[in-house]
Amino acid sequence: MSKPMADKASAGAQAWLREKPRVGRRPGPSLSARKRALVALEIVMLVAAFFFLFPGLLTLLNSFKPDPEITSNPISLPTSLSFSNYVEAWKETRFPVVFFNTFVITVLSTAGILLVSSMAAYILVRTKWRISWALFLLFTFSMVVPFQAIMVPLFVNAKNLNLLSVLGIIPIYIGLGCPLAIFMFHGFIKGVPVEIEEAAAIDGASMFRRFFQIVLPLLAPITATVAVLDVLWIWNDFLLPLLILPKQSTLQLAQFGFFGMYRQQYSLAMASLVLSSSPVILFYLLMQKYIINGISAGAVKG
Amino acid sequence: MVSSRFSKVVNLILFLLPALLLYSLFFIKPFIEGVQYSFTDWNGIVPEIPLNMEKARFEQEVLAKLKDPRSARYLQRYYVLDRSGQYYNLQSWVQEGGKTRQLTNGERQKIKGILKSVGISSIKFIGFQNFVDMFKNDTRFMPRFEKRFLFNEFADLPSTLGPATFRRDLLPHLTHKDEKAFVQWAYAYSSDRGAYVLRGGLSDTAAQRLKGILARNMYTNEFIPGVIGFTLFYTFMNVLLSNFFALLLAVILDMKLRTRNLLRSIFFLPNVLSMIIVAFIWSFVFRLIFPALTGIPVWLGSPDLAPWAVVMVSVWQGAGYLMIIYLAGLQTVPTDVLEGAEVDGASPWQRLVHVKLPLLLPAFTICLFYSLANSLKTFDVIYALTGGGPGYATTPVVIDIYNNAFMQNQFGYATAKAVFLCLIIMVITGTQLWLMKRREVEL
Repeated sequence: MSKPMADKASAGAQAWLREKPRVGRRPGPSLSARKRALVALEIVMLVAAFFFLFPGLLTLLNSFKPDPEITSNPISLPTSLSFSNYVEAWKETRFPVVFFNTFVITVLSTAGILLVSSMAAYILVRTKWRISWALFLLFTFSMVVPFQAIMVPLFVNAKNLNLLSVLGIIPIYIGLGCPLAIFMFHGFIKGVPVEIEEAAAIDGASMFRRFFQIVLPLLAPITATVAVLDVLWIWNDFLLPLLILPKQSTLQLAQFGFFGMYRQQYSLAMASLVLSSSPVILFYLLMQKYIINGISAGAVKG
Repeated sequence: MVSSRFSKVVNLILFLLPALLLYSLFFIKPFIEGVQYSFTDWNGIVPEIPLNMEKARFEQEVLAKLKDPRSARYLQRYYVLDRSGQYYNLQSWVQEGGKTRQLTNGERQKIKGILKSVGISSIKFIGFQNFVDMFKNDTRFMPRFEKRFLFNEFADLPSTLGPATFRRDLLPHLTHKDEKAFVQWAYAYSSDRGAYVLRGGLSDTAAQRLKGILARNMYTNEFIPGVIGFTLFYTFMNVLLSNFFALLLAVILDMKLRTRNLLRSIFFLPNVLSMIIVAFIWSFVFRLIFPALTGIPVWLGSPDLAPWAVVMVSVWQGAGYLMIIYLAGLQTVPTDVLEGAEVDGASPWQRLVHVKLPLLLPAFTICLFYSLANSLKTFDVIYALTGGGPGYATTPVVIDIYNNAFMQNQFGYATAKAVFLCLIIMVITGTQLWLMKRREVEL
């Protein structure tokens, strides 16, 4: 952050204040006029938000309509509320299986990333050797390399290691996800005071006990941030499952295959879109605070 | 700390091992192999060890050269002379204890290692050939000018030629003096028609000659952006537009609006959806809504409009994320500075331009870095929306890499492109960070 600028500006502002107290305001818009402008702006923004969401609303609307009704008038309200599209899409995309696969991959990978990275970051911060700095740099190096640079050999390796399966993709996600997580944990742990651990060490607690009983609970805020970012990444990821997994085994792959097959059958496609996007929207509504905080914190640190 | 150096080393290894192991296995190793593959012509199908070898070659160049008799014996277990006695064939099925099983990966690796020690590999090292191909021979990759001929030899001679066509697309391309004179004789400028008019009563031979000259020399140089051109276009437009809209939204939603939390949630919402879902939602809009709204029937199928459609969807999806970062940046603007400026009579616009925006520079650096790196790597949304088409009008480098690798089986070539992309991203984002950090310090 550009501290000096802020300091200079605030010093300047205070200097003006000290100079001579101003009586009244410069002729400007009156308070009520400003309020009215704000209300107008609010209305404009609400209209803009409606148009912004319009594609999503259309999808929701049309998911209840039969095909002829969609093509004849895509923006009309459905004449009757029918869930038959959903029932068919649920069966056709094998929604329960696919949802379960995605859920398992996301939860286990995220848990793995959190565990592995917090441990690594902790030891890298607490061991102040040159090698730990070098290792930290080695991890951060991956953040500038695009996935495509390792895509082809990664696929070959995964095939050789027999990892082309739902469970096999999990260690790959941990390996690819740990650099960013280590980076964020590293920044956080640097601010955690070392004194409590020293006291515990004198009492004879091992490094593992100190980490799991003392340090890990202190890491809750950054853990939430990393978890949210990784859940969104892995849940929505497309390219890695496309390479590694059999066809249509995660939500995104199933959606991709399904839409390809039913390109002309809008009703089913719309219903399956709503179906497969609802879990993540629910997650967003529930975890909104953490997601927003996570992104602003992650961005500022990254 | 009271622990000894030894236990510290043990702890370091234990704590670090899981992360380092997986990271090395799924990032470092593929990365190094990727750089190696980029110098080979491997197609991804040919097994990394030869399936068969001629008898003489196998005996003289492999068995005779192996110093360790155990290696030779190991190889002879898997390479068996066939019935004709001319070839040694690799046995991909092994008999072991009465059971038949496939050759394991470990065995393949060992065979590969032994063969490599005598200089035999089915993957050929071709140096920088992939990189040369990328720039010189791949007609889809680099931006270039392509001749588009305007006249076909079997058509009738055009009775008039527009002045622009005649002067720009025909005359400069004529190198022979007499050809030039002939064309200028055949087409004379008529000022009342504003065009070059064909002379009447040409003989057959003259007409034939004229047709030949026009067919060979009348062309425009059409600019083909190619994969690189589209990637740069997409990156530029996406960075520009998504940052513009994000900043606009952030500034407005930082004001004291009653519904600002709701609005923030709405504008961020597309960001949590996967690119696949976003692309499909929009493909519906592009196919059913936009044609009715604008009267233009084809959006995603048109080479002129599809790139813009892709940019539009990306901005719709990505602006919310950048908005959050800008909002976080705006909240760090100290209130006393703003109040000071207000008391001093600065209008809201002046406060925005002279106080808020300069203080937003760090957030701007982050957003620019993030959107630059991400735009250069965008895959999902384009793949699902247009598949890179029509033709290759919306193929960015990453889809091109994917196609090269998995559709055309050019693993070596595809990785060479990926290494190139990696360098480009490092250079562009590195330069951007360096420039912006320098500016931040100056402020």
